[in-house]
Amino acid sequence: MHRKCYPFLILFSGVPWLWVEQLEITFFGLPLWVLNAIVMSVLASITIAILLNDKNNG
Amino acid sequence: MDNLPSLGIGGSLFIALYLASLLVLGFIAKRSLKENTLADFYLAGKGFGFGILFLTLFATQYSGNTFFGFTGATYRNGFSWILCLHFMTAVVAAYLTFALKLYRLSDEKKFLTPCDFIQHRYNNQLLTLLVCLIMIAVLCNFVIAQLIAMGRAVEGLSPIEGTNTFEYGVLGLAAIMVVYGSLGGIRAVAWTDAIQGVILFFGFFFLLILMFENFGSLEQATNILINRDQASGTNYTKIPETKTLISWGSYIISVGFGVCLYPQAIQRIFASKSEKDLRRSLSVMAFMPIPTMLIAVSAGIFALAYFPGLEGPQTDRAFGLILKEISTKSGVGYVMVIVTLSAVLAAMMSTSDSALLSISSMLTKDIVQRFFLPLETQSNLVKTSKKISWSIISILVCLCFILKDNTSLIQLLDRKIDLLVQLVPAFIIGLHCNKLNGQAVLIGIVFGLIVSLVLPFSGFDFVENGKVYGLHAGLIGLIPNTTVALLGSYIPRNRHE
Repeated sequence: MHRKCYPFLILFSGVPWLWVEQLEITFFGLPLWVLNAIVMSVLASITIAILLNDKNNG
Repeated sequence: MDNLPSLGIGGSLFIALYLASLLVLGFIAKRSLKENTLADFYLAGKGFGFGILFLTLFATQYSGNTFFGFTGATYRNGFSWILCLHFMTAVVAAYLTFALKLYRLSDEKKFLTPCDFIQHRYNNQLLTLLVCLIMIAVLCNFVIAQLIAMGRAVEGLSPIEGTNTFEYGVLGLAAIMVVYGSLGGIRAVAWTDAIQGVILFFGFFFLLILMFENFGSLEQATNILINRDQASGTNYTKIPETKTLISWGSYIISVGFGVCLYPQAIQRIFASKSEKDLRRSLSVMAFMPIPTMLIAVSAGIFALAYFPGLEGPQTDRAFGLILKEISTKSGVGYVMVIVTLSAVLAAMMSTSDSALLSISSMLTKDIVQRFFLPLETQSNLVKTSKKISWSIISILVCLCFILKDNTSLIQLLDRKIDLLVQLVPAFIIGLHCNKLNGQAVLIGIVFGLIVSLVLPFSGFDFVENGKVYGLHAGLIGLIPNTTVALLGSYIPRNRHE
């Protein structure tokens, strides 16, 4: 059951709680903290897909 | 939406053809009905395979709000609205906590509506009725909002100038929805959802290409906003302040668990052909927020950079401004904008028709059959459900006309997520925790509802936009709700022991 919390934990780690402002640095036109939020969302999606396809998960 | 590009004759024909195809699908779905029962009408005899299930989940979850609302929200908040990517992903993460177990139970017990699970699990008529009424209230609010959005879209798109375009648009689209819904039930809705899902997908895809072609790279737009932040002290690209970060976390929980409990979403879980199909559909759904939300946020950033100056409710015009700009640049742009606008209309219709069907199924099964006609035959119940659909849509269309300009009433109704999230203990905790007691859950929900409805309208200084220091009122209401449900279930039991 606790494994089902992983996607939420990953999403929460995408919230820029402790980020330091570095406006001048962008990647693909995105500020770093935005890029971090997107990467964490992708990771959460992958985790959800893995957990959904895990036969032991019900 | 008076800033939308006008459709012209070609565009109007394309949309007319699309609407006609929905009616044709309704007739085909009617011929595919296998038996005259509520289970076949509302769950297609549990026959949704991976493709249809995924497309109908996609079309139902992403409404017209995805385009207009989220682009407008990005325009108002800047990059911090990237939080929408998180809360839409959280919806699928929330499914993970209950969907598979609920599916297995529904398969065994032949559930038709979400309230069937509540009645089976708690055997408490009052709780079942309360849950049913909350869900119906939420869905009515949902359909009214979509009808208003549809009317505004038709008003903005219509090549003909007229004073009653809004009313004709709402009436016409509502009639089409109720006709195909009454003809083929969930089959018609799911098949039309599939068409709408495909149009949505292509609409998003074309929009992405056209935006970059017309406005250049996202980097240019971001640099404009960074310079604006540095020059005028705005916060479009800066890390949001603490209150917004708390709100971000609150959105993840509230929207994630609220949206996954929409009755139409739960009924789609019931309608899955097999657990494998459900697992696969939800797995693909987990990745859908990435393209859809990123496109909505990008559109908002482009609008903010290149069309500054919109304020308040005007910010919801940001998406229309982007489309208008693209459509005037080239013939290809115009055609692609037509596809995108069809996708917007499709998104609104697919969300409303599913909600309408869910309302009629719950009124028929959970109210009429359970309390008034327990011995009625299935074929008569199907007839009753169709009459209910027509009556409900008539009432909702009238309410839509009354409410369209009354923003204070809309605000009162716009607490749907705060209400839905109060059902988390009843559905999700109750599914996993056998000791949870129906009476305690009922009292918990009442406490939760009081807190989440009173707080936003209390006038307290610490409540801002229905949130307390960034936390949604519904999430605050969930604390006493869950506490009462758990304590009420465990303490009396321990005393007896």
